Amino acid sequence: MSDAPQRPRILFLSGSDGGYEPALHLLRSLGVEIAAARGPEEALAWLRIHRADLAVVEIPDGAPSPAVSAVLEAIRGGDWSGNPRLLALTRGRGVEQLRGLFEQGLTNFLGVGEGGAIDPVELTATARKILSGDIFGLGQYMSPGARTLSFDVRSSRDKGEVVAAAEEFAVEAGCHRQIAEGFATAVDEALSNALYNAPVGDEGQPLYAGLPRTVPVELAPGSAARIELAADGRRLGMSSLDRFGSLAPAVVLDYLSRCFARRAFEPTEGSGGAGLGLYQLLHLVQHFIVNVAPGERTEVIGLIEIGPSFKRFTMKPRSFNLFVKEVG
Amino acid sequence: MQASIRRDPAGTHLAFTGDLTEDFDFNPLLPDLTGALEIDLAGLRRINSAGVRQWIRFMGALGEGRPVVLARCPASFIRQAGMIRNFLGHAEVRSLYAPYLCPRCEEPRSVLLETAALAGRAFPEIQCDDCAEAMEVDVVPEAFLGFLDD
Repeated sequence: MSDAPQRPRILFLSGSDGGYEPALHLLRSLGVEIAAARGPEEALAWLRIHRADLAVVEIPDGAPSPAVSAVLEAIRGGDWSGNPRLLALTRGRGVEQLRGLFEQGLTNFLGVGEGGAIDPVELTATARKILSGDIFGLGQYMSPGARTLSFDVRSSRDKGEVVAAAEEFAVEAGCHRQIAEGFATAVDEALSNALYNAPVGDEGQPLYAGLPRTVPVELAPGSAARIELAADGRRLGMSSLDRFGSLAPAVVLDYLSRCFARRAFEPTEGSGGAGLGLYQLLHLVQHFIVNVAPGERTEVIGLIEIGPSFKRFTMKPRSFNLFVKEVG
Repeated sequence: MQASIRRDPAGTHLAFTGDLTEDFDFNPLLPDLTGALEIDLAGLRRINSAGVRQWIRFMGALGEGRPVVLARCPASFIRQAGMIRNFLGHAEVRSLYAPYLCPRCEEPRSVLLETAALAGRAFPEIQCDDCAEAMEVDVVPEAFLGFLDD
């Protein structure tokens, strides 16, 4: 027997042939073993015999077929070797495709573009995060040499300056004017969340979540929110990191699925406001990532493909990941 | 965001410029908004979630009994109306800016259109000012005009 560490192994279940080979090639070059299954039964038969660390499952039309649903249920509920986590590849257009996925309780999915094309960087970064548990950082999605700009923000009074800088950063990166405005609004929402909703006291009680956003707040030294912006010529990204880790994953999914279901909001402050902010974020970026280390920190990441067309921005299938780091 | 108010025999004309965020309070405007109301939104830029809540509250405060017309709505405003069902209240969108993009020189352009002319979901053909190429509508029409169904 060898003591060499086992290579990470991915089970890849796709009903189509096209588009994935460049991404799979990149994963293999990183030392990942990939087993391809052509159908749900073949995938389950393979899992009964082999260890898998990650199951990547294609969902063709925004909602899984009964056969694929059965595989998803089996993977989530089964006692499989390697305890594989689940990543869905979803086809469809724009934001509305996400509704059925949230209702399914899926927490990790990547949008697949026309012709089956998937962004190799986003797939490999996502797979690496799931396999390694190293979930934090915008840099995982950016090419080396990306231009970055960061801010440590303690006071809500500084929010306007940071948001304006984010819009200017996006314009300089080559973004369409409306997308740049949306990017700035995404920073606005994420920073508001970090300043008002994230802070909790020693007993976990919210400190500022009930305050109107017109009331200024100031975080303690050492608790500053960190905003990072990055652009690598192809992709524009923002990260908002708080030092509290109070955003419960179940709450994120609950907010988003409720927002999709009703699309109408009462003009009240409080939890409805946080839900609306997340809903807005989901529309303003193409890849929305929430990283949580409970009780320690939460990071919200938004990614946008840089380009001149707003229509292309809205049509790109959306991706969403919710990663939770085990603490302790 | 800043507001300006003008009155004439047809009613009250209100215009906004800037970002709609938590920083703007609509309440001081309400006593001056009498009779039929036209709101010009051409100068509106970003809208955040706190601004959405403020706007919904403002629309509610205007009541159902009087005509409210929204004119020269920017694309960012129209997208919110498509995302959030009660965003427009009882107001009618009279005109909006539709984003176009030249497929050759990638020059963007916002074109003011009357909403009544878009009932068939067909956008007019526009030529690029720079290269005379036929411009493309830079939105998904059925999604952009989804507010017409609400």
